[in-house]
Amino acid sequence: MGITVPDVNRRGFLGAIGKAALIGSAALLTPKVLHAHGSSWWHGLSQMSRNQAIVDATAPWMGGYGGSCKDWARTVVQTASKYHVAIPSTKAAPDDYRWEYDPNRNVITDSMCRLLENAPTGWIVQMKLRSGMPHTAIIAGKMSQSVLFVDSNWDLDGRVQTHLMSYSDFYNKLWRTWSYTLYYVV
Amino acid sequence: MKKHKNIYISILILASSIAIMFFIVQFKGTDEAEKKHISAPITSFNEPFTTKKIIWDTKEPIFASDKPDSVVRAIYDAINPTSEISFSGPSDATLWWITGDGWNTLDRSAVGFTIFISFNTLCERAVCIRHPTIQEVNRVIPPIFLQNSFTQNKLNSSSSEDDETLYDYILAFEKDDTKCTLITNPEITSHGTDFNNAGIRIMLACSENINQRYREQLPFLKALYAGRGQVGYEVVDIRKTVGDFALLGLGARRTGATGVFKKIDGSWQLLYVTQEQPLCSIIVKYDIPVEIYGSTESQHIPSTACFDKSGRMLASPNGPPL
Repeated sequence: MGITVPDVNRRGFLGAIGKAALIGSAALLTPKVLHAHGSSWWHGLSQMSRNQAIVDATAPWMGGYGGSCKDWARTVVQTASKYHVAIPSTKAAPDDYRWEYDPNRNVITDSMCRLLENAPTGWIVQMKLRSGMPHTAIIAGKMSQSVLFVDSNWDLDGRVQTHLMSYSDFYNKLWRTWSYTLYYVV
Repeated sequence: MKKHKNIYISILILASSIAIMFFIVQFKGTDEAEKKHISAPITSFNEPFTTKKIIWDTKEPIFASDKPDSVVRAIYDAINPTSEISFSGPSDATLWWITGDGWNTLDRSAVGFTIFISFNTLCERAVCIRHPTIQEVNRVIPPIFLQNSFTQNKLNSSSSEDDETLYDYILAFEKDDTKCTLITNPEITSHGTDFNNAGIRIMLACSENINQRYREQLPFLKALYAGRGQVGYEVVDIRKTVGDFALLGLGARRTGATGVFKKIDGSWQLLYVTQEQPLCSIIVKYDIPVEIYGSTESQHIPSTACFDKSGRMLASPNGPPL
């Protein structure tokens, strides 16, 4: 089924959204990219490249079995970074909308109060939903009214898929206001 | 003194300017960038749909029996395969059923099929749910159940298309032990391995095992909700029991977690809930056997691994080396 968007890449419609949003957010990220940690390949990349690598690393999983959302996200980051970076464990409930402090500073949250609308593609969202369940998703694309998540086990079947959600819907689904945290991997 | 004062004012103005510029870049930049790079889909939420109408078999489907297999097969065969929708199944499916006393029961050995309707436009729930093809499916299937002496179960059914109590739009039917749900997932999701194939799913699932699952799951549900003074709206999925330990999947209507339970003084108690392979410190604290904690169904992480808080993977203190 054809879809008319100006920038359709091999991933088609949803992929184009992600790509366009990533390009659009490049300028935003550039000034604060450079957390040089040692001399490893991963840490030498720009933040935009790291974000893109994370989104790219989700592609082979599409439609397949990813299992638990956090373990899957952890694996995506590990493969994207060629095992240079690991993301921290999630805090115990009821604080399971946040991760443990990362002493290695591989994972950064720049604010507890950043709106999802302002998080670029390739960032990771740790959220706690109204049901009380925690969830981890990667931002694969953004539009003015919606975010495209790629995640595992959203439908309780352990499957990796993308799903589109309006920002208002996202906030309505949260356990409490601000019961989510945005992370980027450096 | 006056000179110093001017310097301070200048610094203040400069700092304010930088702060304002930072704010503009940080909070407005994304929107501007998006407007520049994304065009067509943004404003298309209310465009009319153009999907063709489904063609249904003219024969009224009669269930060969009330068994789940027969019910699902009869409805599946009634849908004309030339219509502009795709199917997966009939195959194993999952049925979520709220019993009369309010507990949520899950049967992963149900049978069912999925209808996938591709969308070429974006929509929000209220619009998605009224897609002509979706309405057609939800209009045609319920009478098939009723004509075959099934009754609608209101506790498991949405009161209207806009009722979000059950998250999805659900119509439920039952006859004796056979329970069926017709679930319309109103979210636009990808289908299979193709990013391009975005749309909405409708899933039919039937089971005759709900009573058995209820008996199996109730002790864990009660343990999960012990002290909360309420009947929960989560389901449990018993994956493994080893000695006095049990590993269960915990699920809400979207997303899930893993719970480890231990039988203490003859009744199950919840030890912890996690969405990932556990912390090594938890394994030590509760002396959890490797057969339990290594079953979070994440095939890409060694089953004998555990993690420290920073995310470093370690060999479990109770298991073999990695």
